[in-house]
Amino acid sequence: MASSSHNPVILLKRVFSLTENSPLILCLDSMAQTSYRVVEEFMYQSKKKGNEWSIVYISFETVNKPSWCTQFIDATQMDFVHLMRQITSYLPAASATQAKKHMVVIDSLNYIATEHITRFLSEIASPHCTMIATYHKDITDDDHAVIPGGSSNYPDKLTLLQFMATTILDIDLTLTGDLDIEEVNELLNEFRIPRGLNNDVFQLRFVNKRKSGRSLEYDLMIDSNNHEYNLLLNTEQEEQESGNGLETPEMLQGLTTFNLGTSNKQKLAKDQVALPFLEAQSFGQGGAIVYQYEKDDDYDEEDPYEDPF
Amino acid sequence: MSSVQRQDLVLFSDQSVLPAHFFQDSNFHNLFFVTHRSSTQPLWLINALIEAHVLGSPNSLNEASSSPLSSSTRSHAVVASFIHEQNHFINSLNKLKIPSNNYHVLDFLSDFVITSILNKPRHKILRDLLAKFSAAIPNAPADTIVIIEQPELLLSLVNGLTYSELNNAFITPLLKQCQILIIVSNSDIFNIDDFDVSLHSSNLQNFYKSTFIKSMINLNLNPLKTGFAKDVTGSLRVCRGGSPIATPSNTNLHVVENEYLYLHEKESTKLFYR
Repeated sequence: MASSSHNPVILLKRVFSLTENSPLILCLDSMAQTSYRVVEEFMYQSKKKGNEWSIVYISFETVNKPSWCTQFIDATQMDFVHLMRQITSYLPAASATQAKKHMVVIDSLNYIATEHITRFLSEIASPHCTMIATYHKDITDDDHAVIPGGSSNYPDKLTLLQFMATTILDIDLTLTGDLDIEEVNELLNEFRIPRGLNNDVFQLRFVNKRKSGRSLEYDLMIDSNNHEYNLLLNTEQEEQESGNGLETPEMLQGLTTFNLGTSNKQKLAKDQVALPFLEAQSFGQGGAIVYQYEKDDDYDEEDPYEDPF
Repeated sequence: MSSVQRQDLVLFSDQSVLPAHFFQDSNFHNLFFVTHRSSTQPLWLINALIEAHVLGSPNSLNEASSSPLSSSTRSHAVVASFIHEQNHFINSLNKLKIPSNNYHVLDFLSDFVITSILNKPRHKILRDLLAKFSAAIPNAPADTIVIIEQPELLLSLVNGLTYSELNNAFITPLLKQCQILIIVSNSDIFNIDDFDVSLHSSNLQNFYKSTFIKSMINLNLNPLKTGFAKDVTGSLRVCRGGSPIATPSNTNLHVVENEYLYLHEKESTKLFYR
Protein backbone atom coordinates (compact mmCIF):
# COMPACT_ATOMS: atom_id res chain seq x y z
CA MET A 1 0.00 0.00 0.00
CA ALA A 2 1.30 3.41 -0.88
CA SER A 3 2.50 5.50 1.96
CA SER A 4 1.22 9.02 2.15
CA SER A 5 4.33 10.28 3.90
CA HIS A 6 6.46 9.88 0.75
CA ASN A 7 6.24 11.79 -2.45
CA PRO A 8 6.91 9.10 -5.08
CA VAL A 9 8.29 11.54 -7.65
CA ILE A 10 10.81 12.91 -5.16
CA LEU A 11 11.72 9.39 -4.09
CA LEU A 12 12.29 8.39 -7.72
CA LYS A 13 14.44 11.47 -8.29
CA ARG A 14 16.47 10.54 -5.21
CA VAL A 15 16.95 7.04 -6.63
CA PHE A 16 17.94 8.42 -10.04
CA SER A 17 20.44 10.82 -8.51
CA LEU A 18 21.74 8.01 -6.25
CA THR A 19 20.98 10.06 -3.12
CA GLU A 20 18.79 7.25 -1.82
CA ASN A 21 20.93 4.38 -0.69
CA SER A 22 20.05 1.40 -2.85
CA PRO A 23 22.90 -0.99 -3.68
CA LEU A 24 21.19 -2.97 -6.44
CA ILE A 25 18.82 -1.23 -8.82
CA LEU A 26 17.23 -3.68 -11.22
CA CYS A 27 15.86 -2.36 -14.52
CA LEU A 28 13.45 -4.87 -16.03
CA ASP A 29 12.88 -4.13 -19.67
CA SER A 30 11.55 -5.80 -22.80
CA MET A 31 11.71 -5.51 -26.56
CA ALA A 32 8.82 -3.05 -26.47
CA GLN A 33 10.64 -0.60 -24.21
CA THR A 34 14.31 -1.07 -23.49
CA SER A 35 16.13 0.35 -20.52
CA TYR A 36 18.61 2.74 -22.10
CA ARG A 37 16.38 5.77 -21.56
CA VAL A 38 16.15 4.90 -17.85
CA VAL A 39 19.94 4.60 -17.60
CA GLU A 40 20.18 8.02 -19.30
CA GLU A 41 17.85 9.40 -16.58
CA PHE A 42 20.30 8.15 -13.94
CA MET A 43 23.09 10.01 -15.71
CA TYR A 44 21.00 13.17 -16.12
CA GLN A 45 19.85 13.33 -12.50
CA SER A 46 23.31 12.45 -11.15
CA LYS A 47 24.90 15.17 -13.22
CA LYS A 48 22.26 17.67 -12.14
CA LYS A 49 22.97 16.78 -8.53
CA GLY A 50 26.69 17.28 -9.15
CA ASN A 51 27.71 13.72 -8.37
CA GLU A 52 31.27 12.87 -9.27
CA TRP A 53 30.99 9.13 -9.27
CA SER A 54 33.22 6.85 -11.27
CA ILE A 55 31.09 4.88 -13.69
CA VAL A 56 32.10 1.35 -14.66
CA TYR A 57 30.14 -0.05 -17.60
CA ILE A 58 30.03 -3.84 -17.96
CA SER A 59 28.84 -4.53 -21.48
CA PHE A 60 27.64 -7.70 -23.11
CA GLU A 61 25.36 -6.00 -25.61
CA THR A 62 26.49 -2.42 -26.08
CA VAL A 63 29.36 -1.94 -28.49
CA ASN A 64 29.41 1.87 -28.47
CA LYS A 65 31.06 3.22 -25.34
CA PRO A 66 28.73 5.80 -23.74
CA SER A 67 30.31 9.23 -23.33
CA TRP A 68 29.65 9.34 -19.59
CA CYS A 69 31.39 6.16 -18.52
CA THR A 70 34.81 6.13 -16.90
CA GLN A 71 35.68 2.49 -17.53
CA PHE A 72 34.15 0.37 -20.27
CA ILE A 73 34.53 -3.38 -19.90
CA ASP A 74 33.78 -5.48 -22.96
CA ALA A 75 32.64 -8.65 -21.25
CA THR A 76 31.79 -10.63 -24.37
CA GLN A 77 35.22 -12.17 -24.76
CA MET A 78 35.93 -12.92 -21.10
CA ASP A 79 35.26 -15.94 -18.97
CA PHE A 80 33.65 -15.42 -15.60
CA VAL A 81 36.81 -15.47 -13.46
CA HIS A 82 38.66 -13.09 -15.74
CA LEU A 83 35.66 -10.76 -15.85
CA MET A 84 35.36 -10.66 -12.05
CA ARG A 85 39.06 -9.90 -11.71
CA GLN A 86 38.77 -7.05 -14.16
CA ILE A 87 35.68 -5.55 -12.52
CA THR A 88 37.04 -5.70 -8.99
CA SER A 89 40.29 -4.08 -10.12
CA TYR A 90 38.31 -0.90 -10.89
CA LEU A 91 36.36 -0.88 -7.63
CA PRO A 92 37.51 0.08 -4.11
CA ALA A 93 37.75 -2.71 -1.55
CA ALA A 94 34.54 -3.27 0.38
CA SER A 95 36.44 -2.91 3.65
CA ALA A 96 37.88 0.52 2.79
CA THR A 97 36.60 3.13 5.22
CA GLN A 98 36.70 6.02 2.82
CA ALA A 99 36.57 5.62 -0.92
CA LYS A 100 35.19 7.34 -3.97
CA LYS A 101 31.66 6.32 -4.85
CA HIS A 102 31.29 4.05 -7.89
CA MET A 103 28.38 3.32 -10.14
CA VAL A 104 28.39 0.00 -11.98
CA VAL A 105 26.11 -0.27 -15.02
CA ILE A 106 25.49 -3.83 -16.21
CA ASP A 107 24.10 -4.53 -19.66
CA SER A 108 22.67 -7.11 -19.25
CA LEU A 109 22.32 -9.78 -16.58
CA ASN A 110 20.76 -12.21 -19.08
CA TYR A 111 24.28 -13.07 -20.19
CA ILE A 112 25.43 -14.20 -16.75
CA ALA A 113 24.69 -17.84 -16.02
CA THR A 114 22.19 -18.53 -13.24
CA GLU A 115 24.80 -20.47 -11.31
CA HIS A 116 27.10 -17.42 -11.25
CA ILE A 117 24.57 -14.69 -10.67
CA THR A 118 24.70 -14.49 -6.87
CA ARG A 119 28.48 -14.63 -6.80
CA PHE A 120 28.67 -12.00 -9.54
CA LEU A 121 26.51 -9.52 -7.66
CA SER A 122 27.90 -10.19 -4.20
CA GLU A 123 31.49 -9.70 -5.34
CA ILE A 124 30.69 -6.30 -6.82
CA ALA A 125 28.48 -5.15 -3.95
CA SER A 126 30.12 -2.87 -1.40
CA PRO A 127 29.18 0.25 0.58
CA HIS A 128 30.95 2.35 -2.05
CA CYS A 129 29.14 0.99 -5.03
CA THR A 130 25.69 1.16 -6.60
CA MET A 131 24.74 -1.30 -9.32
CA ILE A 132 22.30 -0.47 -12.08
CA ALA A 133 21.57 -3.73 -13.83
CA THR A 134 19.36 -4.38 -16.84
CA TYR A 135 17.50 -7.65 -17.30
CA HIS A 136 15.39 -8.40 -20.38
CA LYS A 137 12.14 -9.96 -19.21
CA ASP A 138 11.16 -11.54 -22.51
CA ILE A 139 14.39 -13.46 -23.02
CA THR A 140 13.96 -16.82 -21.35
CA ASP A 141 16.37 -18.23 -18.87
CA ASP A 142 17.74 -21.25 -20.74
CA ASP A 143 20.42 -22.47 -18.44
CA HIS A 144 18.10 -22.85 -15.47
CA ALA A 145 17.63 -26.53 -16.15
CA VAL A 146 21.32 -27.26 -16.31
CA ILE A 147 22.71 -25.95 -13.04
CA PRO A 148 25.23 -28.60 -12.08
CA GLY A 149 24.15 -30.36 -8.95
CA GLY A 150 21.37 -27.81 -8.59
CA SER A 151 18.09 -28.60 -7.05
CA SER A 152 15.00 -28.39 -9.19
CA ASN A 153 13.54 -26.10 -6.56
CA TYR A 154 16.18 -23.49 -7.13
CA PRO A 155 14.50 -20.24 -8.26
CA ASP A 156 15.00 -18.92 -11.75
CA LYS A 157 17.18 -15.92 -12.43
CA LEU A 158 14.43 -13.33 -12.51
CA THR A 159 12.93 -14.42 -9.19
CA LEU A 160 16.37 -14.40 -7.64
CA LEU A 161 17.13 -10.92 -8.94
CA GLN A 162 13.81 -9.51 -7.81
CA PHE A 163 14.51 -10.89 -4.36
CA MET A 164 17.99 -9.39 -4.18
CA ALA A 165 17.27 -6.00 -5.73
CA THR A 166 16.67 -3.07 -3.41
CA THR A 167 14.95 -1.05 -6.10
CA ILE A 168 13.10 -2.48 -9.09
CA LEU A 169 12.26 -0.34 -12.10
CA ASP A 170 9.87 -2.34 -14.25
CA ILE A 171 9.75 -0.54 -17.58
CA ASP A 172 6.68 -0.74 -19.75
CA LEU A 173 5.51 0.71 -23.01
CA THR A 174 3.12 3.64 -23.25
CA LEU A 175 0.97 3.19 -26.30
CA THR A 176 0.80 6.10 -28.67
CA GLY A 177 -0.80 4.78 -31.84
CA ASP A 178 -4.19 3.22 -32.41
CA LEU A 179 -3.12 -0.24 -31.25
CA ASP A 180 -4.18 -1.56 -27.88
CA ILE A 181 -1.95 -3.57 -25.58
CA GLU A 182 -3.40 -6.92 -26.66
CA GLU A 183 -2.73 -6.19 -30.32
CA VAL A 184 0.82 -5.10 -29.55
CA ASN A 185 1.46 -8.29 -27.57
CA GLU A 186 0.02 -10.42 -30.34
CA LEU A 187 2.20 -8.71 -32.95
CA LEU A 188 5.27 -9.08 -30.75
CA ASN A 189 4.54 -12.76 -30.19
CA GLU A 190 4.42 -13.23 -33.95
CA PHE A 191 7.48 -11.02 -34.33
CA ARG A 192 5.64 -8.66 -36.66
CA ILE A 193 7.13 -5.68 -34.87
CA PRO A 194 4.61 -2.80 -34.73
CA ARG A 195 5.50 0.86 -34.94
CA GLY A 196 5.53 3.01 -31.82
CA LEU A 197 7.77 0.91 -29.55
CA ASN A 198 10.67 2.33 -27.55
CA ASN A 199 9.18 5.77 -27.06
CA ASP A 200 10.59 8.74 -25.20
CA VAL A 201 7.57 8.58 -22.90
CA PHE A 202 7.04 5.36 -21.02
CA GLN A 203 5.63 3.81 -17.88
CA LEU A 204 7.58 2.67 -14.91
CA ARG A 205 6.51 0.47 -12.03
CA PHE A 206 8.79 1.64 -9.28
CA VAL A 207 9.36 -0.65 -6.29
CA ASN A 208 11.54 0.66 -3.51
CA LYS A 209 12.38 -1.66 -0.65
CA ARG A 210 12.90 0.24 2.59
CA LYS A 211 15.35 -0.79 5.28
CA SER A 212 12.43 -1.76 7.49
CA GLY A 213 11.46 -4.44 4.98
CA ARG A 214 8.43 -2.54 3.76
CA SER A 215 8.31 -1.98 0.04
CA LEU A 216 6.74 1.00 -1.66
CA GLU A 217 5.22 0.52 -5.06
CA TYR A 218 4.19 3.21 -7.49
CA ASP A 219 3.29 3.54 -11.16
CA LEU A 220 4.87 6.52 -12.84
CA MET A 221 4.91 8.03 -16.29
CA ILE A 222 8.38 9.15 -17.39
CA ASP A 223 9.00 11.72 -20.09
CA SER A 224 12.66 11.32 -20.94
CA ASN A 225 12.70 14.40 -23.19
CA ASN A 226 11.80 16.88 -20.47
CA HIS A 227 12.89 14.65 -17.56
CA GLU A 228 9.42 14.92 -16.09
CA TYR A 229 7.94 12.24 -13.89
CA ASN A 230 4.25 11.95 -13.07
CA LEU A 231 2.53 9.61 -10.70
CA LEU A 232 -0.12 7.39 -12.23
CA LEU A 233 -2.88 6.13 -10.01
CA ASN A 234 -2.53 2.41 -10.00
CA THR A 235 -5.53 0.29 -10.76
CA GLU A 236 -6.33 -0.55 -7.17
CA GLN A 237 -6.47 3.09 -6.15
CA GLU A 238 -8.47 3.92 -9.24
CA GLU A 239 -11.04 1.28 -8.45
CA GLN A 240 -11.39 2.54 -4.92
CA GLU A 241 -11.91 6.05 -6.07
CA SER A 242 -14.35 5.22 -8.78
CA GLY A 243 -16.25 2.98 -6.35
CA ASN A 244 -16.82 5.87 -3.97
CA GLY A 245 -17.37 8.31 -6.76
CA LEU A 246 -20.74 9.80 -7.64
CA GLU A 247 -22.84 8.21 -10.27
CA THR A 248 -22.75 9.92 -13.60
CA PRO A 249 -25.91 10.69 -15.59
CA GLU A 250 -24.73 8.33 -18.34
CA MET A 251 -24.94 5.39 -15.96
CA LEU A 252 -28.65 5.97 -15.44
CA GLN A 253 -29.63 6.47 -19.04
CA GLY A 254 -31.88 3.92 -20.67
CA LEU A 255 -32.57 2.04 -17.43
CA THR A 256 -36.16 3.16 -16.92
CA THR A 257 -38.72 5.45 -18.47
CA PHE A 258 -38.38 7.72 -15.43
CA ASN A 259 -35.86 10.47 -15.31
CA LEU A 260 -33.36 9.37 -12.68
CA GLY A 261 -30.75 11.98 -13.57
CA THR A 262 -30.12 15.20 -11.72
CA SER A 263 -30.05 18.50 -13.52
CA ASN A 264 -27.35 21.04 -12.77
CA LYS A 265 -29.82 23.27 -11.03
CA GLN A 266 -30.93 20.40 -8.81
CA LYS A 267 -27.32 19.53 -8.05
CA LEU A 268 -26.60 23.08 -7.03
CA ALA A 269 -29.62 23.16 -4.75
CA LYS A 270 -28.58 19.83 -3.26
CA ASP A 271 -25.10 21.11 -2.54
CA GLN A 272 -26.48 24.13 -0.73
CA VAL A 273 -28.54 22.20 1.77
CA ALA A 274 -26.91 22.54 5.15
CA LEU A 275 -26.85 19.12 6.71
CA PRO A 276 -27.55 18.95 10.47
CA PHE A 277 -24.47 17.04 11.40
CA LEU A 278 -22.29 19.68 9.73
CA GLU A 279 -23.87 22.33 11.97
CA ALA A 280 -23.19 20.17 14.98
CA GLN A 281 -19.54 19.98 14.06
CA SER A 282 -19.16 23.73 14.14
CA PHE A 283 -20.51 23.88 17.69
CA GLY A 284 -17.11 24.44 19.27
CA GLN A 285 -15.08 22.14 21.36
CA GLY A 286 -16.57 19.63 23.72
CA GLY A 287 -20.23 18.93 24.21
CA ALA A 288 -22.46 20.69 26.65
CA ILE A 289 -25.99 20.18 27.78
CA VAL A 290 -27.89 23.36 28.19
CA TYR A 291 -30.89 22.95 30.35
CA GLN A 292 -33.35 25.70 30.66
CA TYR A 293 -35.89 25.52 33.38
CA GLU A 294 -39.42 26.06 32.49
CA LYS A 295 -41.94 27.60 34.78
CA ASP A 296 -43.60 24.31 35.71
CA ASP A 297 -40.35 22.59 36.61
CA ASP A 298 -40.19 21.58 40.20
CA TYR A 299 -36.53 21.68 41.10
CA ASP A 300 -35.20 21.34 44.57
CA GLU A 301 -31.60 22.49 44.90
CA GLU A 302 -31.06 20.56 48.12
CA ASP A 303 -32.15 17.24 46.74
CA PRO A 304 -28.94 15.45 45.60
CA TYR A 305 -30.90 13.00 43.42
CA GLU A 306 -32.60 15.67 41.44
CA ASP A 307 -29.80 16.46 39.04
CA PRO A 308 -31.08 17.55 35.68
CA PHE A 309 -27.73 16.56 34.13
CA MET B 1 4.94 22.53 -50.04
CA SER B 2 7.46 22.53 -52.80
CA SER B 3 7.20 18.99 -54.07
CA VAL B 4 4.72 16.19 -54.44
CA GLN B 5 4.95 13.54 -51.76
CA ARG B 6 7.54 11.03 -52.90
CA GLN B 7 7.14 7.41 -52.08
CA ASP B 8 10.83 6.77 -51.80
CA LEU B 9 12.37 4.53 -49.23
CA VAL B 10 13.36 6.78 -46.35
CA LEU B 11 14.63 5.29 -43.10
CA PHE B 12 16.11 8.23 -41.21
CA SER B 13 15.12 11.79 -40.44
CA ASP B 14 17.72 13.22 -42.85
CA GLN B 15 15.66 11.64 -45.66
CA SER B 16 18.28 9.00 -46.29
CA VAL B 17 18.58 5.23 -46.21
CA LEU B 18 22.13 5.11 -44.85
CA PRO B 19 23.11 8.50 -43.38
CA ALA B 20 26.64 9.78 -43.89
CA HIS B 21 26.92 10.29 -40.10
CA PHE B 22 27.26 6.54 -39.66
CA PHE B 23 30.54 6.49 -41.52
CA GLN B 24 32.26 9.46 -39.89
CA ASP B 25 33.94 7.63 -37.06
CA SER B 26 35.03 4.00 -37.02
CA ASN B 27 34.40 3.77 -33.25
CA PHE B 28 30.65 3.82 -33.74
CA HIS B 29 28.71 0.78 -34.83
CA ASN B 30 25.05 0.41 -35.69
CA LEU B 31 22.97 -2.70 -36.15
CA PHE B 32 20.08 -3.03 -38.61
CA PHE B 33 17.70 -5.94 -38.17
CA VAL B 34 15.69 -7.10 -41.16
CA THR B 35 13.06 -9.75 -40.48
CA HIS B 36 10.99 -11.46 -43.11
CA ARG B 37 8.75 -14.45 -43.77
CA SER B 38 9.27 -17.24 -46.26
CA SER B 39 6.60 -15.67 -48.45
CA THR B 40 8.23 -12.24 -48.38
CA GLN B 41 11.82 -12.75 -49.43
CA PRO B 42 14.17 -9.86 -48.68
CA LEU B 43 16.51 -9.96 -51.70
CA TRP B 44 15.11 -6.73 -53.17
CA LEU B 45 15.62 -4.95 -49.85
CA ILE B 46 19.17 -6.26 -49.49
CA ASN B 47 19.87 -5.02 -53.03
CA ALA B 48 18.34 -1.64 -52.24
CA LEU B 49 20.51 -1.27 -49.13
CA ILE B 50 23.68 -2.18 -51.07
CA GLU B 51 22.67 0.23 -53.81
CA ALA B 52 22.05 2.98 -51.28
CA HIS B 53 25.50 2.38 -49.86
CA VAL B 54 27.47 1.96 -53.07
CA LEU B 55 25.58 4.20 -55.47
CA GLY B 56 24.22 6.73 -52.99
CA SER B 57 20.51 5.96 -53.37
CA PRO B 58 18.29 2.90 -53.90
CA ASN B 59 17.75 3.46 -57.63
CA SER B 60 16.13 0.11 -58.38
CA LEU B 61 13.08 0.95 -56.27
CA ASN B 62 10.21 2.64 -58.05
CA GLU B 63 12.28 2.65 -61.23
CA ALA B 64 13.93 5.87 -60.19
CA SER B 65 15.79 7.68 -62.91
CA SER B 66 19.23 6.44 -62.12
CA SER B 67 21.67 9.20 -62.57
CA PRO B 68 25.01 7.78 -63.67
CA LEU B 69 27.19 7.09 -60.75
CA SER B 70 28.72 10.00 -59.01
CA SER B 71 31.92 8.76 -57.54
CA SER B 72 30.70 7.71 -54.14
CA THR B 73 33.16 8.14 -51.32
CA ARG B 74 31.85 5.20 -49.37
CA SER B 75 31.78 2.05 -51.26
CA HIS B 76 32.24 -1.43 -49.95
CA ALA B 77 29.68 -4.06 -49.00
CA VAL B 78 30.18 -7.60 -47.77
CA VAL B 79 27.28 -10.03 -48.12
CA ALA B 80 27.31 -13.39 -46.39
CA SER B 81 24.55 -15.93 -46.55
CA PHE B 82 23.78 -19.21 -44.84
CA ILE B 83 20.83 -19.85 -47.11
CA HIS B 84 21.80 -18.68 -50.60
CA GLU B 85 24.82 -19.39 -52.72
CA GLN B 86 27.14 -16.79 -54.13
CA ASN B 87 25.53 -16.48 -57.58
CA HIS B 88 22.17 -15.59 -56.08
CA PHE B 89 23.60 -12.24 -55.03
CA ILE B 90 26.14 -11.73 -57.80
CA ASN B 91 23.50 -12.11 -60.54
CA SER B 92 21.10 -9.65 -58.97
CA LEU B 93 23.80 -7.12 -58.13
CA ASN B 94 25.12 -7.34 -61.70
CA LYS B 95 21.64 -6.55 -62.98
CA LEU B 96 21.69 -3.40 -60.89
CA LYS B 97 25.02 -2.46 -62.45
CA ILE B 98 26.87 -2.37 -59.16
CA PRO B 99 30.60 -2.63 -59.91
CA SER B 100 31.88 -6.00 -58.79
CA ASN B 101 34.85 -4.52 -56.96
CA ASN B 102 32.44 -2.74 -54.64
CA TYR B 103 31.09 -5.86 -53.00
CA HIS B 104 32.20 -9.23 -51.78
CA VAL B 105 29.94 -12.23 -51.36
CA LEU B 106 30.77 -14.94 -48.82
CA ASP B 107 29.12 -18.28 -49.39
CA PHE B 108 28.29 -20.08 -46.14
CA LEU B 109 26.01 -22.56 -47.84
CA SER B 110 27.94 -24.71 -50.31
CA ASP B 111 29.66 -27.55 -48.46
CA PHE B 112 29.52 -25.43 -45.33
CA VAL B 113 28.88 -28.20 -42.83
CA ILE B 114 31.62 -30.41 -44.25
CA THR B 115 34.27 -27.74 -44.52
CA SER B 116 33.50 -25.51 -41.57
CA ILE B 117 31.54 -27.37 -38.92
CA LEU B 118 32.20 -31.09 -38.79
CA ASN B 119 34.57 -32.18 -36.02
CA LYS B 120 35.39 -28.70 -34.89
CA PRO B 121 34.82 -27.20 -31.47
CA ARG B 122 32.27 -24.35 -31.24
CA HIS B 123 34.68 -21.53 -30.51
CA LYS B 124 36.87 -22.51 -33.47
CA ILE B 125 33.91 -22.56 -35.88
CA LEU B 126 32.92 -19.04 -34.87
CA ARG B 127 36.51 -17.80 -34.85
CA ASP B 128 37.07 -19.13 -38.40
CA LEU B 129 33.89 -17.47 -39.61
CA LEU B 130 34.99 -14.16 -38.13
CA ALA B 131 38.36 -14.51 -39.82
CA LYS B 132 36.61 -14.84 -43.19
CA PHE B 133 34.89 -11.52 -42.58
CA SER B 134 38.12 -9.88 -41.47
CA ALA B 135 39.71 -10.96 -44.75
CA ALA B 136 36.76 -9.63 -46.76
CA ILE B 137 36.52 -6.26 -45.02
CA PRO B 138 39.20 -3.93 -46.36
CA ASN B 139 41.16 -2.14 -43.66
CA ALA B 140 40.89 1.34 -45.07
CA PRO B 141 38.73 3.23 -45.75
CA ALA B 142 36.49 2.19 -42.88
CA ASP B 143 33.19 2.46 -44.71
CA THR B 144 32.07 -1.11 -45.12
CA ILE B 145 28.60 -2.42 -44.51
CA VAL B 146 28.22 -6.10 -43.73
CA ILE B 147 25.02 -7.97 -44.52
CA ILE B 148 24.59 -11.42 -43.05
CA GLU B 149 21.66 -13.59 -43.97
CA GLN B 150 20.20 -16.02 -41.44
CA PRO B 151 23.05 -16.39 -38.94
CA GLU B 152 20.47 -18.01 -36.65
CA LEU B 153 20.99 -21.21 -38.65
CA LEU B 154 24.24 -21.63 -36.73
CA LEU B 155 22.13 -22.38 -33.66
CA SER B 156 20.77 -25.41 -35.50
CA LEU B 157 24.00 -26.38 -37.20
CA VAL B 158 26.43 -26.16 -34.34
CA ASN B 159 25.83 -28.59 -31.54
CA GLY B 160 25.21 -26.98 -28.15
CA LEU B 161 25.50 -23.39 -29.34
CA THR B 162 23.40 -20.94 -27.31
CA TYR B 163 22.15 -17.51 -28.34
CA SER B 164 24.44 -15.81 -25.83
CA GLU B 165 27.49 -17.65 -27.12
CA LEU B 166 26.57 -16.80 -30.71
CA ASN B 167 26.17 -13.15 -29.74
CA ASN B 168 29.32 -12.94 -27.67
CA ALA B 169 31.64 -14.85 -29.96
CA PHE B 170 30.30 -13.95 -33.38
CA ILE B 171 27.68 -11.21 -33.79
CA THR B 172 29.12 -8.61 -31.39
CA PRO B 173 32.76 -8.99 -32.60
CA LEU B 174 31.48 -8.78 -36.18
CA LEU B 175 29.57 -5.60 -35.39
CA LYS B 176 32.78 -4.12 -34.02
CA GLN B 177 34.53 -4.75 -37.31
CA CYS B 178 32.20 -2.58 -39.37
CA GLN B 179 30.14 0.59 -39.03
CA ILE B 180 26.91 -1.02 -40.09
CA LEU B 181 25.93 -4.63 -39.66
CA ILE B 182 22.67 -5.74 -41.24
CA ILE B 183 21.28 -9.01 -39.92
CA VAL B 184 18.59 -10.56 -42.12
CA SER B 185 16.52 -13.25 -40.41
CA ASN B 186 13.53 -15.38 -41.18
CA SER B 187 11.01 -15.03 -38.36
CA ASP B 188 8.74 -17.93 -39.34
CA ILE B 189 9.52 -19.71 -36.09
CA PHE B 190 7.26 -17.25 -34.25
CA ASN B 191 4.36 -18.07 -36.48
CA ILE B 192 4.28 -21.83 -36.31
CA ASP B 193 1.17 -22.82 -34.41
CA ASP B 194 1.78 -24.70 -31.19
CA PHE B 195 5.36 -25.48 -32.03
CA ASP B 196 6.99 -27.44 -29.29
CA VAL B 197 8.56 -25.04 -26.83
CA SER B 198 11.76 -26.98 -26.73
CA LEU B 199 15.04 -25.63 -25.51
CA HIS B 200 16.05 -25.20 -29.13
CA SER B 201 13.14 -23.04 -30.24
CA SER B 202 13.43 -20.81 -27.17
CA ASN B 203 17.13 -20.48 -27.95
CA LEU B 204 16.19 -19.32 -31.46
CA GLN B 205 13.56 -16.92 -30.16
CA ASN B 206 16.03 -15.50 -27.66
CA PHE B 207 18.42 -14.82 -30.51
CA TYR B 208 15.80 -12.81 -32.42
CA LYS B 209 14.77 -10.89 -29.33
CA SER B 210 18.33 -10.07 -28.28
CA THR B 211 19.15 -8.95 -31.82
CA PHE B 212 16.13 -6.66 -31.83
CA ILE B 213 17.23 -5.15 -28.51
CA LYS B 214 20.72 -4.49 -29.87
CA SER B 215 19.50 -3.06 -33.17
CA MET B 216 18.62 0.58 -33.66
CA ILE B 217 16.26 -0.01 -36.58
CA ASN B 218 14.04 -2.90 -37.56
CA LEU B 219 12.71 -3.45 -41.06
CA ASN B 220 10.10 -6.15 -41.18
CA LEU B 221 8.66 -7.69 -44.31
CA ASN B 222 5.33 -9.37 -43.84
CA PRO B 223 2.70 -10.77 -46.15
CA LEU B 224 -0.67 -9.06 -46.12
CA LYS B 225 -2.92 -10.27 -43.32
CA THR B 226 -5.62 -10.90 -45.88
CA GLY B 227 -3.40 -13.19 -47.90
CA PHE B 228 -2.26 -12.02 -51.30
CA ALA B 229 -3.32 -9.39 -53.75
CA LYS B 230 -2.36 -9.02 -57.38
CA ASP B 231 -0.93 -5.57 -56.91
CA VAL B 232 0.69 -5.99 -53.47
CA THR B 233 3.34 -8.51 -52.44
CA GLY B 234 3.63 -7.52 -48.82
CA SER B 235 4.29 -4.75 -46.37
CA LEU B 236 7.54 -3.24 -45.20
CA ARG B 237 7.39 -1.73 -41.75
CA VAL B 238 10.16 0.53 -40.51
CA CYS B 239 10.40 0.67 -36.72
CA ARG B 240 12.80 1.86 -34.06
CA GLY B 241 14.92 -0.88 -32.52
CA GLY B 242 15.88 -1.27 -28.88
CA SER B 243 19.13 0.72 -28.97
CA PRO B 244 19.91 4.37 -29.60
CA ILE B 245 21.53 5.48 -32.84
CA ALA B 246 25.29 5.85 -32.39
CA THR B 247 26.81 8.81 -34.19
CA PRO B 248 29.94 10.78 -33.27
CA SER B 249 28.28 14.18 -33.05
CA ASN B 250 25.05 15.01 -31.33
CA THR B 251 22.85 14.95 -34.40
CA ASN B 252 19.13 14.76 -33.97
CA LEU B 253 19.01 11.82 -36.30
CA HIS B 254 16.14 9.45 -35.65
CA VAL B 255 14.36 6.59 -37.35
CA VAL B 256 11.34 7.60 -39.43
CA GLU B 257 8.77 4.98 -38.52
CA ASN B 258 6.68 4.19 -41.53
CA GLU B 259 4.82 1.44 -43.30
CA TYR B 260 5.01 0.76 -47.01
CA LEU B 261 3.26 -1.68 -49.26
CA TYR B 262 5.45 -3.14 -51.93
CA LEU B 263 4.92 -4.90 -55.21
CA HIS B 264 7.74 -7.12 -56.31
CA GLU B 265 7.81 -7.91 -60.01
CA LYS B 266 10.33 -9.68 -62.15
CA GLU B 267 12.37 -6.61 -63.01
CA SER B 268 11.42 -4.06 -60.40
CA THR B 269 10.00 -3.36 -56.98
CA LYS B 270 7.57 -0.55 -56.31
CA LEU B 271 6.91 1.03 -52.95
CA PHE B 272 3.74 2.78 -51.81
CA TYR B 273 2.93 4.46 -48.55
CA ARG B 274 0.35 2.64 -46.59
